[in-house]
Amino acid sequence: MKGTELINEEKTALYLLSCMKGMLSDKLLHMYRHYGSFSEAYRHEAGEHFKAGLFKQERMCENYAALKDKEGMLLERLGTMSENGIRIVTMFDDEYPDRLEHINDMPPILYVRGRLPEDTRPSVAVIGSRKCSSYGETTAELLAGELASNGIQVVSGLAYGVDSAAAVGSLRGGRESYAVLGCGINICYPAENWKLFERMSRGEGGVISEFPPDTAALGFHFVLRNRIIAGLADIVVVVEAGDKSGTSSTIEYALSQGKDIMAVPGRITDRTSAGCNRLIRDGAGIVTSPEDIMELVRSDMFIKCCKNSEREKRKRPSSADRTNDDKQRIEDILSSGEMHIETVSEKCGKSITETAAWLMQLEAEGRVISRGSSYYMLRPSFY
Amino acid sequence: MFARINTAGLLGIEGYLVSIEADVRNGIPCFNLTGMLSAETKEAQSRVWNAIKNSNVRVEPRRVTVNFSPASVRKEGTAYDLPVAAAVLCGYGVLDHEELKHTAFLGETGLDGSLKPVRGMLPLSFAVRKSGCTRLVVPLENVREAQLVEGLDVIGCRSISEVIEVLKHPDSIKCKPHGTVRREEGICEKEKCKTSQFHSTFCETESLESISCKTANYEKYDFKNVHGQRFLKRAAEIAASGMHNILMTGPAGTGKTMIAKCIPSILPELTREEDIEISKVYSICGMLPADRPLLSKRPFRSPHHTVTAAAFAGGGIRAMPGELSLASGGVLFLDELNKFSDSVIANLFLPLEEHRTVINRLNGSCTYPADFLLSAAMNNCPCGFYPDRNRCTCTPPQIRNHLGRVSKPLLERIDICAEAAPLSYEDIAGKRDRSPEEPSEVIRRRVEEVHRIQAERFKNSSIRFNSRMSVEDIEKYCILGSEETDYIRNVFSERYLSGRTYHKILKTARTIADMDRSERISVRHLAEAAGLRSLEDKLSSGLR
Repeated sequence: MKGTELINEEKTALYLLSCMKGMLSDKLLHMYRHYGSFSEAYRHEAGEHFKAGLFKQERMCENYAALKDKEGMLLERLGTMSENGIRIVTMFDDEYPDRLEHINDMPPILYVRGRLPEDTRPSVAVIGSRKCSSYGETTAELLAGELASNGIQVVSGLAYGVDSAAAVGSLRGGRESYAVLGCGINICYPAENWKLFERMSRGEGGVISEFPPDTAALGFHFVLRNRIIAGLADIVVVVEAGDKSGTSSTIEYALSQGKDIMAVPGRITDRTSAGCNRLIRDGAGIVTSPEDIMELVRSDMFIKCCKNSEREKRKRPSSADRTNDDKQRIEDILSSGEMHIETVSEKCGKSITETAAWLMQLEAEGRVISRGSSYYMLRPSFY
Repeated sequence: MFARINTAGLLGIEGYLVSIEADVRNGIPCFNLTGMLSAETKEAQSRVWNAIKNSNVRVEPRRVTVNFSPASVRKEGTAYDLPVAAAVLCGYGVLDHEELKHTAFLGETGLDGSLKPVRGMLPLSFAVRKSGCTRLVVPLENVREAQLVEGLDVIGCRSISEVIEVLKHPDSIKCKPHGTVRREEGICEKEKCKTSQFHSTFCETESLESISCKTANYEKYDFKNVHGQRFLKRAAEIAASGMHNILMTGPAGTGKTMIAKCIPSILPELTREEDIEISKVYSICGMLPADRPLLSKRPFRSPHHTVTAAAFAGGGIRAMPGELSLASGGVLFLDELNKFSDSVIANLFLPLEEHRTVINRLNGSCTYPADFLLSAAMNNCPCGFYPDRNRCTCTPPQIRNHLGRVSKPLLERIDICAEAAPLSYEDIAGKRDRSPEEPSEVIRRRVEEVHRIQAERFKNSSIRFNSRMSVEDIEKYCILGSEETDYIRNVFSERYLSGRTYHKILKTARTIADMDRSERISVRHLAEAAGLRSLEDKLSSGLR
C-alpha cells in the first residue's frame, strides 16, 4: 500500500516537473539520478538545483519559481486529464514501452491518447520527407497498408507528406496507426491531419507525446520526438527523403539505438529520393516490396506476426490476360513515371480523346491513378 | 411659349422616353431646370444658354423653365443638352415644336454651340424608335450607331446652327431606306465647304448588310497559332461546344492565356440580334470601335485580379456595366483565379446561374446582361511547378493555401478542369515535325454544329446548352446503358466522387457525345468527361 502511495507521489512530482517551462527529458533524468527520486527533486529549491549544476541559466530558476506558483492549477488539470482521454504513462509504470527503456534519454513521462504500441508485436516506423512526390506518397500508403494488414504496428510522426500517407495507409490496412507528436498531446499539428489524429486518439492506434499538454510545436521538439519514433520501432523504413531531410535525425537516433534501417529506392535523377538512395549505398536495407520488411521483422522478432502473412494479392491481371494492345501500350508508356496526358498521347501516337478514354478506363479498373488533374501514373504495386 | 421635345434616358441597358418641356415667359430673367437631375445634367443650363448665344441666334433674356418628364426618375448624363436647347429654341419660336412631334434629340453641346458625341446611343435610339418617333437628331459622330435602328431617320449635325438649318429646311433632307440619311449637296451656300464634308461622311457609311455580314476577325488569336497543348485545346473546344465553364491549371507561360483568348474565335458567329445586344453594353460604356457601329465579334474580357467589385459587376456613382456585362456573349477570363478577392468572386454567382447582373441602387435597380463563358486559369502552387516535386520548392501548406484560395461554390460551377502539359523545347521553338495546327474557323464550324444539336434538343425549354441542364434534364437527356453505368460506378468508388461531380461528368459527357454526333453516351464519352474532372477532386484527395 505504501509502495503505491510512494509511486503516486513520484508520478505527481514527475508530472509537475515535466510541466516546467524549458524542462526536457534529459534534464528530468539528470535530476532523477542526482536526487534519487523526483519527489525529492521537487522538494528542493531552485538555488540548490543551480548549485548542483542541474540548472545552468538564471532563467531556469525563474521558471522553477513559476512552476511552484501554479502548482495548484497543474494538479487540478491532472485531475481532468483522464476526462479528456489523456493518460500519463511514466517510467515507473508497467505499461511503459519496453522498447523505450533501452534508449538514451528515454522520456520519463509520456502523454498518451488511444493506445501505446504493444511490446509483444512488431512495429515499424515509416518515415520520409514532408515534401514528397506522388511516388513517395503512394508508396508510403501502400507499404504502411500492407504492414498494418499483417499485424505490424506502424509508427510515424503525423507530419505532412510521407507521415500522413503512412497513417492513412495503416489506418486503412489494419485500423491501427501510431503517431509521436512534437507538441502537446491536445494539439493537432499540422491541423489538416485532424481526421487522422482523431481516429488514432479514439483507439485506432494511438497518439503519443513526451511534452505536456498545450506545449507549442517548436522546431527542436520535432528532432527530439524523432528519437521516440525510432525508439518505438523495431525497423525504420525511409520511404522518400531528399538530400537535406528531417529524416536524417531519425536515422541517426535509430543507428545509435541499434535499429535496422531500410530505405525505398528511387530514381537516381530524382532529388526527392537522393537521401534514400544514399542510405542504400551506405548499407541500409533495400525495400523492393512489403515482403522485404516482413522478412526482416520475422527474422528479427521473437514473435510471429499476428496475422498469417498469407495476404491477398492485389488483383493485377497478368500480361496474358491483357487482350487489349492499346491499354498495354499505355501502361508500358506510363511505366517510366508520372506523365501528362498529352505526353502519353504523343508517345502512343493517339488522339487526346482516345488517350483520355483509355486512361480513364485504366483508372476505373484500378491500374492507373492520377493525383494532379491531368497527370497519370501506374498504380504502384509489387510483383 | 410652351414647347415639348422628345429624348430618351437610360435605365440599365434599356432606354425610356423622356419629354423635355420648356416654358418661356416674360418676367424676371432666369433659366431653371427641374426633374430630378444629376449634377452634370443640371449643368446643361449654362452650356445650353451659351451655346445658343454663340450659334448666332438672338434670344433676349426671359423667364425660362425647363422640366424633364417623368420628373420622378433620376436623369444622368449630358445627352440632354441638345434636347434642352431644342426645347428652348421652340419656346422662343425659333423652331416650330408642332413639326418636331415625331422627332427626338440626343447630344451634348459645347459653349460654342458645337455638338459632341454621347455614350449609349445604341440603346437610346432603340428606345426613341420604340416610343414612336421617326426622326432623330444626333451629333455627327453618333450617326453610325443610331442608324442601326430600322425605321428611324437619323440626322447628324455638328452644331446647333446646323440643327436649326436642317430643321428649317426639311426639304434638304432626303431619306433613304434603313434610316440612312443623305443630305443633298449645295443646299447651304454659306457652309458649302462644311456641307460637302458632311455629305462625304455619309457616303462612306457602310450599308448595314455589309456590317452584319462581315466575318469577325480575331486576328492573331486563332488556334492555328497555338502550338502543342492539344489537351487544353480539346478541353477548350468541349467548353465552347456546350458552353461549359473551364478552369485551366499549370505552370506560368504554358499558353493558358493564349488559349483562353482564342476561345471567342471558335464560338459560333454572332447573329444580328446578339450583336446588337452586346453592342448596347459597349455603347453605354463608350467602348464601341471607332470605325464600326457594332462590335461584330465576340468579346474577350480579362480583368486583372486587383479589380474592384464595382468595376467587375457594374456600378459606380453613375451605374455602368462592369466586366461581367462587357463579357456577355463572349468569354470572361480570370487569370490567377485564386488571387481575386472574395467580394469580387461573390459577384459571379448570380450571373453564372441567371446570366444577368442586377445593381440595386437608391433610385431603383438596373439589370445588365451577363451571359458569358467563364474561363479561368491558375498555377498549381506559388512557384508553379507542382506536382513536379523535383522542381517545386513549395511546402504542403503553401500549396494547400494556394489551391484553397479558390472558392468552393465557384468550383462547383466549373464543369471542366484541365491541366496544361509541360512544354518541351520543340514546342516552344516550333521545331516539332507535325501537321499544321487546325485554324479556328474549322473548329468553329464543328462547334456551330454542336450548338445546333443542342438547340434542337432544348427547343421546348428555356435553356440552350448542355452545361445549363438541371438535374431533371440530366435524368432526361443523359441516359446510360448498363455498361456505362458499370463504368461510372467504378469511377465513383475509385475516386470518391460527390454527387455534384457526378452530374458535371454527365453534362460534359453529353457534350462530348454531341460532338461525336452520337445520341447515346458511351463509355468513351464518359471516360473523357471524367478525365476533365474538377479541381475539387484534387483538393480533397490529392494532398494531405
